[in-house]
Amino acid sequence: MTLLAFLLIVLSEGCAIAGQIFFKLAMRPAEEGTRGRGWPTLLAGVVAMAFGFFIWVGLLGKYDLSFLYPFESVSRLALLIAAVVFLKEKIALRLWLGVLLISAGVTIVALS
Amino acid sequence: MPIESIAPPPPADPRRRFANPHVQIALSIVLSAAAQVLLKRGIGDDADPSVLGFHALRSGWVWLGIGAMIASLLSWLYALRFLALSVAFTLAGAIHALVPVGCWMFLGEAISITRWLGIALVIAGVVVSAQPATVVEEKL
Repeated sequence: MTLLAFLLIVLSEGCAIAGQIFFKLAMRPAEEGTRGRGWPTLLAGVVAMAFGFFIWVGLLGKYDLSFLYPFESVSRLALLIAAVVFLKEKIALRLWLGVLLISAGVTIVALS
Repeated sequence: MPIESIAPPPPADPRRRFANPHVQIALSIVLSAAAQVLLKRGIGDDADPSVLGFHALRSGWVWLGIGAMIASLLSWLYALRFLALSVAFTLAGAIHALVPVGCWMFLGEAISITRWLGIALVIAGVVVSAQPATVVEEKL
């Protein structure tokens, strides 16, 4: 794997995480706060997602899905941390356990 | 007040069950997994892959995949109105069990014993994660 491929993978996952944060900000009910709520944030989410998506499609054409999978499991943990930092979400212990199980499973799927 | 305590519509009425955020999450996951399989089918073993995948837009399978992805996104956005992102995204981890199974069923890819074990772990993780969400919903 070249450095360029690694950077593209990180960029793709980073865009996907940013997109999800934007989506949640855009869609949340008014009683949870109004900062960033509405269409402009939704559009920002779509742009971030689309950017990440095209990089991902390019990577899929070049590498096996099974090779790209472990990076998905790393990004699952990164998204939870991003949700705590940017959305102030409280994460139940069971959810952390669930994410660890999923990440372990995804990595085994990828390496098998 | 927990973040996921915004009341979803009651699921008792079958017509309103479609409005349940967990049903929409499930729909979103299935559509998203279908999109991945369709994209892989469309891109296939491209002889001349470019770094950015715009050349793939010539394939009908890829457009079907994009359609499934858009439908999945609409379900997802609806569910995000009611669920915390951390909960919704972790439940969406089920896609990592569905995609390999979909590849096995529709793309003829083999699944080894080890890979089945990984799929089982993913499902276990989703089941564990689903507990807090379910408990909160029962309290409503």
